[in-house]
Parts: sequence; structure tokens; C-alpha cells
Amino acid sequence: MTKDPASWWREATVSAGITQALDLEPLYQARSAFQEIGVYEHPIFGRVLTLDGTVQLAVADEFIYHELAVHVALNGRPWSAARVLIIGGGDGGILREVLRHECVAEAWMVEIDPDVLDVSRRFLKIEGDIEDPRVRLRFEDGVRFMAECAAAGRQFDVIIVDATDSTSPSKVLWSEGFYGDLRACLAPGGVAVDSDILLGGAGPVWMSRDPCDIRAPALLADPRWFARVDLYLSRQPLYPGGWFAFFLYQSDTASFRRPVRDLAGRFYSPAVHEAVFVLPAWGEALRGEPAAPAESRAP
Amino acid sequence: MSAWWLEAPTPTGSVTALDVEPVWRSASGRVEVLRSERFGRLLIVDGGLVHAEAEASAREMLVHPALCGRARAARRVLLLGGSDGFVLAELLCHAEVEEIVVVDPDEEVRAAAQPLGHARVLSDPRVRLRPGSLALDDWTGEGDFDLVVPAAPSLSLPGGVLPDPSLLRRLLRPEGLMVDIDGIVLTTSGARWLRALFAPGPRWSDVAAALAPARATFLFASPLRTGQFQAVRLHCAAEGELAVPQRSYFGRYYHPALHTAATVLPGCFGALP
Repeated sequence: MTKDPASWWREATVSAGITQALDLEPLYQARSAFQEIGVYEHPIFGRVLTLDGTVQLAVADEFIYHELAVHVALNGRPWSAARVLIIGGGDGGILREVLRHECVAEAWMVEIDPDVLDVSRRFLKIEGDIEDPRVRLRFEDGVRFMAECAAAGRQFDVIIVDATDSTSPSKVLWSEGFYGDLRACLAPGGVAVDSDILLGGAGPVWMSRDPCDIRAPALLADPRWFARVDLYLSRQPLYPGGWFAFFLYQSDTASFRRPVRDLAGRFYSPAVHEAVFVLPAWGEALRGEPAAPAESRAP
Repeated sequence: MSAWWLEAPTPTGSVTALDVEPVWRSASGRVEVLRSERFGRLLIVDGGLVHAEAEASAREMLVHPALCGRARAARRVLLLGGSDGFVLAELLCHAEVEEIVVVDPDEEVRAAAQPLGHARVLSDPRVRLRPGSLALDDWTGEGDFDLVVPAAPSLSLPGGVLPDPSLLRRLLRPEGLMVDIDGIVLTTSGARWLRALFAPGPRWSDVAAALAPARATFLFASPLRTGQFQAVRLHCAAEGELAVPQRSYFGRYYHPALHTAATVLPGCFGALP
């Protein structure tokens, strides 16, 4: 390990006023048709995948994000023969966790960039079994796929948006059209999972959603889009300056906060499922549920 | 004019970088106050980020679970370090706390209280600044403390000045609590306490463990500590429930439901000693 952080790899999230430097050794760097893909070795966190200069995952802790993105939705309802759609997900971690659920009948994965899956399979080896007969793998634009599904009336029980920041190919997501298609593609009782880095400090800032057409606070507050939008929080250690927030865009108003099945992940458990919905005091206000009357709070 | 401040190297191989403006610097340069647009005023000691004005999770978790975990009110608190005022301000939010004795030999940290805007905290009539070293070796008499809180960064590092556990045992009431705080790092070979990544040597965690077993662990994350989670542990010689809050308090981060939720430890942290 070199001693001077000034010489370490620096993440490209400088517009937020906070970033991080990591002691990384490059293993692979190339530009795909869509983005810069990097794989690095870190002495503590193992292999690290970056897209367009931002950390996507580290092998040592990727399971936190992948388990929480999948198991809260799939354990929050008594699904049977569930149809699951993953938008993005090229590293394969989401697919791995989805395939753990016997209630899943179909697992569609629509990734725009085949190089992400190739590089991940070569260097990270965290992917699920893409040969599983339940898997339907497509390499195409997830936005277009969703629009086609919406037009054709094809629906899914669980849709997981596993995309990069809005600075990358994903910037066309989170528009009025995308949310409309997302809503149209949800089966009755269905749910879509989305996520973003939530920067703490003086007033929360959504790292990816704030530059978008429809910002997270509007989405959380506006019932035109979904019957209910819920929110839970975790922490991804190598996402700088932020909490990691998951959104549940629901087609009905029933709660996902109580697990209906047992499942022991490396991070996830039924107790963790319930605990992640308990937000810090400042976070409860994000979904309009203050933890206490304002007058009883600390100055 | 702003510039990028980079944290001093850590054994996790990851450091935080912040866009900051200078506010104040001690004569030796060891202690600085910087300002970040997002995180407010920052206290920097020996190149490490100790507190940020607008990010209160660490100092709230250092204080509120301990003060809310017991039905009996904590009236006397011993604060080791912390004369900058950040942790003191959290302690003073609890009306039942009658006296806080602050032992902090670091004059440069104490001088930072003014540019941090904490001068009034230090002059609160419930605060008593006591001269002496963190070893407390010049302490005379009984302590009768309900709570001991570590707030000096040097306590977490190997080779720092530490009090003797037997002295602390004498200063604490039998059911008194001692707080410990450390990072948790998920490595490729599993979860490790941050202290295990540093060079070996006694530190505050050893003192706390020698005094009494940990009765409760509260997991949380400070977004300014890249590459890690954090945990506060409450050590106590007497048995008793600490995971369910017995007293109500609502901070900017902490609240009663969070108290209990923070004791839920994911499986990957379960093997930590």
C-alpha cells in the first residue's frame, strides 16, 4: 500500500463537494460502446468495479446492495411464480440474489452493455447462474425494452432498476416516460425497486436523481406516479458521503416493511429487513413521516 | 477560496476528500477548522476528520443510546477529550445530566471551540473543565460517575495515553456505563474492527473491555467515514437491558425507534469478537 493518498485513485464525484481516494491498482481499463469500464485491486476491499470513474461495487461488500435491492421486495410479499425484471445489473449480483428465491418463475435481465457482464464474469465472479432455466438475458436498451413491454401490455411482479449514476448511459432513465412505462409494466400488487446515493449534511441531496426530470422528493410526494412510494436506507461503505437509499414504487398501498419468509443472507435477515425501514430522524421527513413533532427535536 | 482537503492515510486504504475553505488553524497546525458547503464547519486533528457540524450521527450515537438506555437518569458524566464542544453539546441536550467533567489536555482542541461556535457550550454551568492527562493519574477521591464517554481521537490509536481500568472502575458507579466506538471494515476475508487494521498496541477498546463486558452494540454509519461502518458498544459491570430505550430523546439523527433498530446486526458482523 502506498502511503500518500494524494497519489491514490480519486473518484469522479467531485460535483457533490465530497469524494474519496482509494489505494487501487488497475487490472483492466477499457472503453466499451457505452462507458469507461475499470477493474482495480484494493488491498482491503478486493476487486473494485468502476463505470465512468465512479465505484459500482467492491467484492468485499457488494452483497449489501445486492441483497437489500432484492430480498426486501421478494420477501415482502408471498409471491408465487413471480416474474422479475432487472434493468441493468450487468455485474450479475442482482441476478444471483434473485435466483435464490424459489418463488421466482422468470428472471429477465436487460443490460445495455454486454462488456460489463463479460468483464465482471472475468474479474469479479459474483454473478448468478445465467444458465439457470429461469433466466432470460437480453442485451438491449432497458428504456426501450420497458417501452415495448408497456405498449405490449407485458407486466412483471418485481422490477429492479440496477443502473449507474445519471451521468452515465442511465441518464435517460428517471424521466416522465420511463416512470410511466415502469408503472404500466407493474402487475397488480407489483413493485419496482430503485436506488440512489443520498448525500447527508446540510439538507439531503440525491446524487443521481436531482439532475433528473422528476426528482426524488417529487416522486415520493406525488401520488400520480405510484400508489405508494416507500423508502429504506443502508450504507454502502465505498459510496462516498452518502447513505444508500432504496425506493419501492408500488402499484398498491400494502406495506413491504414486514418480511413474509425467512432468509439468511450475509447482510440480509428478516430483522435487518425491518430495521432498514427505521430511518434517522432527518430521514423520516423524506417520506413525510416525522419521527417526532418538530418542537421536541434537538436544535 | 476553496480547495480539496484530503484525509490523512488510514489503514483501510480509503480516505475522504472534501471541498473546503479554511477557517482557523492552531499555532502548530495540528488542529484546523475548515468549512464545507455541505457539511458545515469541520474539526480536523492531526489530519483526521473528527466532527462535521452538519453530520451528527457519530456524536449522537456516542451519547444518546447510553443516556437513553437506562431508566435511571445519568447525572454525572466524565468526558475524556471533547473540549471542542461537539460531544458536549449532545450531552447538554439531556436535562437530567447535572455535571459533565471534561478532561482534555489538548489545548489546541480546546482553542478550536471558539471558531467552531461552541464557546457557550464550554461556559455552560453544568460543564467543569478539569486539568490533567487522559491517564487520570492525578485523580483523587471517588468519581461517582454514571457514564464515561471517550471523545479524544488519540484514545482510539495505539500508543496513546490511557487511564487504568482499575481507576475507572473506582470512578464509575457499579451500574455505570462506559462507551466505546470503533469502525467496522468489511474486508475480503470478513468483517474486522478498524482497530485490528492498525498496528498492535493498547487503546480505549482494551480499557473498556478490561473494565466490563460489552452489553449492547449499536451499528450505524457516518457518511464521512468512507470504507467503514461504525459501532458504539456500551460496557457495564452490571447486567441489564440496554437495547430498548428507557428514556425518550429525538435528535437530528437519533430517535427511540432507531435506538432499537441499531442493535440489529447483519450476519456478516456477527463473528466480530
